[in-house]
Formats: sequence, structure tokens, C-alpha cells
Amino acid sequence: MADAFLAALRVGADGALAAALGFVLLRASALRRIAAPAAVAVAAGLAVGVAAALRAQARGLAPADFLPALQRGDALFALALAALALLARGRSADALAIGWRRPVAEVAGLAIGLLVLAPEGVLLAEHLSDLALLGGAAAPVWGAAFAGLAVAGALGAGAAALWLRAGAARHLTPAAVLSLLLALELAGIGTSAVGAHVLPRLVTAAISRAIHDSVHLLFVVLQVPDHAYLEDWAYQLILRFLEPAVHAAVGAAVVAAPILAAWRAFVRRPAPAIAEGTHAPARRLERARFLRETRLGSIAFAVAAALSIAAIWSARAGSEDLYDPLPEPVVDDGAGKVVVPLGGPLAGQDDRMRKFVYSVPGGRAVTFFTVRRPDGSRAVALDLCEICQPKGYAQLGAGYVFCKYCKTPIPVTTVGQPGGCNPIPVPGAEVSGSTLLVPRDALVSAWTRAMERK
Amino acid sequence: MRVGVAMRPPLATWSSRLAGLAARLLIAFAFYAAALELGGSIGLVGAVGSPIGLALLGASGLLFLGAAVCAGLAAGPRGLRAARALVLSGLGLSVAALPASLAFRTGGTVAVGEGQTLEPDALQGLPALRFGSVALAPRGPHVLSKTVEIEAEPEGGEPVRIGLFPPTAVAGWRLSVFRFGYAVAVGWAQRSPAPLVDGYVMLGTFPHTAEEAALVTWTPEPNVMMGAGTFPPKLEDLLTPPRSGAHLFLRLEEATIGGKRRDLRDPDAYRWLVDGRLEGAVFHVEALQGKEKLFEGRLRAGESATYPGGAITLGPDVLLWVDLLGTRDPWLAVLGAGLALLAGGVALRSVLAVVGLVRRQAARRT
Repeated sequence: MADAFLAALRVGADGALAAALGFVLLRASALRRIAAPAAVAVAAGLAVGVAAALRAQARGLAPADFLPALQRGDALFALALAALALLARGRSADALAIGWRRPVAEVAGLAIGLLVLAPEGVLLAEHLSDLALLGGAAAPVWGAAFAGLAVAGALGAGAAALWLRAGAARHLTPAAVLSLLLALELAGIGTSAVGAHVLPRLVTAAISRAIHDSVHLLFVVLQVPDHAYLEDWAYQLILRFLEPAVHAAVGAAVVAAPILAAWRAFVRRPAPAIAEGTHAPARRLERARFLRETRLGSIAFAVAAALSIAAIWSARAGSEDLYDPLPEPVVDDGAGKVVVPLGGPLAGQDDRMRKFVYSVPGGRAVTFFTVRRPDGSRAVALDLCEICQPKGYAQLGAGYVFCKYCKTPIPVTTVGQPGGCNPIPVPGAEVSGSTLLVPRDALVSAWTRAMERK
Repeated sequence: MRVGVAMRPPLATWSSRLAGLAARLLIAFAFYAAALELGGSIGLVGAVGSPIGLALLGASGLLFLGAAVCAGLAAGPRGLRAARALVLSGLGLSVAALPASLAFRTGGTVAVGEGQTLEPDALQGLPALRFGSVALAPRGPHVLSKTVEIEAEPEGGEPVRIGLFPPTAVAGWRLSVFRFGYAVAVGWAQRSPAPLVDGYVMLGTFPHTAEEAALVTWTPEPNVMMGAGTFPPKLEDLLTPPRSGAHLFLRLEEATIGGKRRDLRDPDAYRWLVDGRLEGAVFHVEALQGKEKLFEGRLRAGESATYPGGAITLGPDVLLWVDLLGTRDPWLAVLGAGLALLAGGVALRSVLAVVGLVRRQAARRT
């Protein structure tokens, strides 16, 4: 019950913070008519997420079926927040309520409200269902969760009231609130409560892939030979660009860029015009008030930037050791299936990568690996990709496989998808008892096709 | 004195507006690429090569170029105008040339042996090329740690050397060595006086079915990256002349490389292969008719062997062949020019800023 209460409290607090920020901004502006609806939309988004999860459960769908889509959706939502913060930079909420901008701003405000907690709602419902299953009773678990949500809601309402009283609305701009919402998404107060906080890692992995693709592109365009033919210093220089810490630094800079651009626009906004004939002391007071608002308003941007950078930096992949198991020999059953025993003394921990080698008549050795995804499903892929030389992969922490050639971390969630740096998938693998059966022809033909392109 | 660009409207204004719009398009491209990556695992190359990516980058490049023209024609100090025009034109050319290079780049590979003449148009527009010998060395120039290069003489042109990097320009193509391999002269007759094979055999280039491959024992391939692009040179191959039912398996097993005798069956043999040419090579040879093995033994290069129903002769030298990678990319030069202009503009602007600073300090002192 305590688990359910705390999980719901954290998910609720995530939404309550977002709702309070939005409410304070909108309540004191010309967009005040959507202040309450936007806050309600946050709660509605949570309810929609919970309802969708329960409906999916009733239809027999497992969390694994929709978790990748949820995570992609969450990442795109964060990207949209960054884009909106950039678009709204330098504008007050009142400025967004003029002319054609008003309906757009109102729809965007409500949509953001709905989307803030919808994925967390799905994840929370799954989490609570698991807890109910383990505890043998659903009512206490859901009751505790409602209590947690109620406490979070009360905290959010209290925070909103306090901020309004303190006049925080004068110092908040739409761009600042959007930046804070982006930072909250990256910090993942709610998603980490239900063990599904992957956004910073997704962002870092995306940056890694972009840098890696750029280096590859440069190699291809300039016809640079492989590292075995380069002086060591030259290749070490190239490897600097492929280090996870560099990727995390670039990722932090990229994520902070729209926030900093919005902050810059806020600081450089024009001072309000002072009426002709105003006395010098009044002018100075007006000027001081403007500077104070700028300083206080900057706090929101600074917090958002610091939180985002910290979230990305803490998710950098390079801090974990590589796990590179020796391939275990496997044979086929004579009926077209390669038999991979999943149990036995070499099995190791269940979430660890395992490599296997299948000897094809003719002396060729096909190496492939299996790794468990966060959703519990098992991915089977060749130990090589379409692009790099076949140096293979190792496991990096629990969430990544790591290309040993180009030093690129690949999220485990994308293993099994074809293309680019992903290890080449082997379709059709199925678990039968404690044995994994891999279609021999699919395995060998995937390997042969890939090697012919090398 | 304040250093700044004092330009007369409207050209100066137009330059700023166009540059601002171009920058916005670049930011839009960044968000588009990020959305593709986060939403669909489509990488940067895919984003650049997509129609929307091409349109955004192309339009941004053109707008930067327009801004550069306006900046160059606007009023103001000549140096500052030039610096701004250089930076903007460099940005424009670079941003526009990158997707154009990806979209319009053509490429191909062609395998050539030592002493071979390549027919014209082996790659479209490439003239006939006569090739000399391949040079291998465990050292290389500039950033290269090894040398793999071949002499080539275009028809009616000056001889050139095509190596690993940088590519050599020949008739609009940029040629570089992609990988290399071994070739040995083989004379082989079996069950008939007519030769089944009489010529150079390039090891590692012959296709065979799984059934044919199962007739002999292959050396496990080293799981390493090497070769000028790909793998170590192949040391063995199985020849199956069409409609003969005969098979000849050749494997390089031993040779002197760079003055040292090497066992090429060693799993780490790939490390020595770029040390030099093979001398005193010894081959493992198997001759089969269907599944029946008629001959199995070791032959030195230059030796012959006869067996019931057949005879094999190996040439005295092991020659080299290379796969040449050719690309034709007119936009690469544009990209290079853009980067050069950009660097020039930044350098000029920096110099002007320093000069301005020095002058201001001198003015303060006086």
C-alpha cells in the first residue's frame, strides 16, 4: 500500500507542479479563461491514461505491447515543449491572447495539460495492477493510490495559491513555464516512480546516433579508410567524438539551447515605455522594477536549464562497464531450427546479454546474441550491423548494447528493429520452454547478406 | 570607435532578414531531424536525405546566399561587408551542398589486377586505365598507418598512384583503394585435355553454392575489421568451372612477407598481410570430381602436380588485385568551397575585431 501511495504521490506531484505552473501563468493573464480547464486537463490526462491501460489489460494486451510507443510519444512531447518554448520566447501570456494567437494558445494549453500525465497514467495503472496482483487485493492498492493523488493535488493547489499570493505570475512567461515543463519531463518525477524513466537516455542515444552518423557520413564522403589503416593518433582523435561523455555534453547543450534562447529573449525584451514628463525618480523606480522582474523571471529559466542539463548528464552512458560474454556454441536440430538453451550453468543473470556461435558448413561462424528488453521480451540479433565492421556488440548497463567498433550505445528497446547502427535482427525466434528456437535459414541468410555488403 | 556593420537599408535589412529566415529553417530542420530520430529511429542521414530535409536545407542555403549578396552590396566599411558576405556565402554553400552531395552522389567499385588494363567506361566516363604494380607497406603517409596503392596510367594522361587516402582524381572520378587480394596463375586440366582453368585466379571472388562450399573445409574467418574498408584479404577459394562437375580448392598456407616466413593459417595472420608482397608462397590444393577427391597436397608457387586424371600448375608469383572505390560528387567541391569561405570570413572578422580593439586602445591613450 505504501508503494502504491508513494508511486501515485510522485506521479501526482509531477502533474500538480505542471498544473500549478500553468494555472499561475494563465490566471493572471488575458488567457485566464483556460487556467482552470488546463489544470483540469492535467487530471483528465491522468484519468485517460489509467482508463486506456485498464482497457488494454481487459483486452489482454501486455505493457510490452505499448511501452515503446508510449516512450516515443513522451519523447516527442518533450520535443514539442522545446519547440513551443522557442516559438513563445520573448512573448508574454497577454501577447499570446491577441488575435489569431489566442485560439492557438488556448488549444495548445489544453493539449499540453492533457498530455502531461497521460503516459504516466498508463504506467501508473500497470504498476498498480501489478501491486494489486502481488498483494492479492485491489481495493487497498487503488485506495492508497487515490490518497496519494489527492495529497499531490492538494500540494499542487497549495503551491498555486502561494505563488499567486506571492505575485509569481508577474515573473513567469509562457516560455519559462514551457521550459520548466520540459525540465520536469526530463527529470521524470512521475515516470521514475513507476520505473519507466527513459527520456534522458533516449535523448542521449539520439544525440549519439546523430554524432555517429555524422562521423560515418564524413568517412563516406571523404572516402577515409578504416581505422586499421589510420595512424593511431588519428583514430584516437576520431574516437573522441564517439565518447559517451562527449555525447552527453552535446546532448545537454542541445536540450538547454531552446531554454537558453528563450531566456536570452526574456532578458533582452524591451523595457516598458515610460510616459513623457515622468519625473526622474519615478523613471528610476520603473527601471528598477523592470530589472527586478528580469532577475526574478530568470530564476525559472535558470532552474529549467540546470534541471535539464543535470538530467541529461546523469543519464550519460559511459559511466557503466561493458559486458562482453564469450559466444557459446549452438547447433541446429536438423529440422531448420538453431537450438539455444536459455537455462544451464552459462545462463548467468536473466537480463544479461548472451552470445552464441553457430557453425555453418563451409567454415563460416555466425555469431548472434540475445538480450532482454525492459518489457521482458527477448531480442535476437546478429552480432553485427549494416554499417560497421563486424567487431560486434557488448552490453552497456542494462539499457544498452554498445557497438565495439564505433563506440555507439544502442538502446536495448530498439534492438530487433532493422537499420542503421542497430544490430541486424533475426526474425522468427521463439521461446519453447527453456529453449530459444532460431530459424536457421533466417539466421544464415541475414548473416550472409550482411557480410556480402561489407 | 565602435566596431559594427553599418549598412544602409534596405540591402542591409534584407541581408539580416534573409539570414534570420535561413537560420529559422535550419532550426526547423534540427527539430524535424530530432522528431524523426525520437519518433521513428530514423537517423540524421535519413533526415538529410528525405524530401523535407532536402527542401529545408536547400532553401536555407539559398537564403544564406541571398543574404550574402545583399551584405556584399550594402553600404558600410569594406572589410566588415566582406567578412559578413564571406561568412554568409560560406554557410549558404555548405548548407546547400551537403544534401545535394548526398542526393546526387554516384559511386561504384571495380576490381583490377596488376598489369591489367581497364576498358573505358568501366565507371561511366572513366577512360581506359593501364595498371602497374600494387605497393604494400606497413607504414603510410600523413594520417595513414599503412600503404596499399596501385600505379595507374589513364589513356592519354599522366600516370597517377591510387592509394587509400586521399582519393585520386581521374576524369571526374575520385578513386581510392577499397580492399585488396591475391591472384595466382593456375593451369588445371581434369578428365579432359582441355584446360578447365588457365589464367589468374583472384582468391575470394568466386561465387559458390552452400552445397559446393560443403565439399571442403574452410578456415574460420577472423572476426576483425581490416582491409582498406572491409576484411583482410581472402586467402582461399573454391573454383567450380561451369558444367564440369569439377572443383579446385586453393588456400594460401605459408609465405615470406617482409622478410619473415609466416604461417598464414594462424588466426592472426591478417596482421602481417600488409607488411609486403608474398614470396615463396605455399598453397594447399584439393582437386575434386563431384564429391570424389582426386588430389590433395601442398604446392609451392611455380610447381606442378599430376594425379590420376588431371594436372595442376601454379604460376611462380602471387600477384595482387585491388577493388577500387570510385565516387563522382561535384557538390563535394562546393561543400569544400563553402567551408573555406566560412573559415575565411570568420578569420577576416576576427582580424578586424582585433584591429578595431588596438585602434580603440591607441585612441584612449592619446
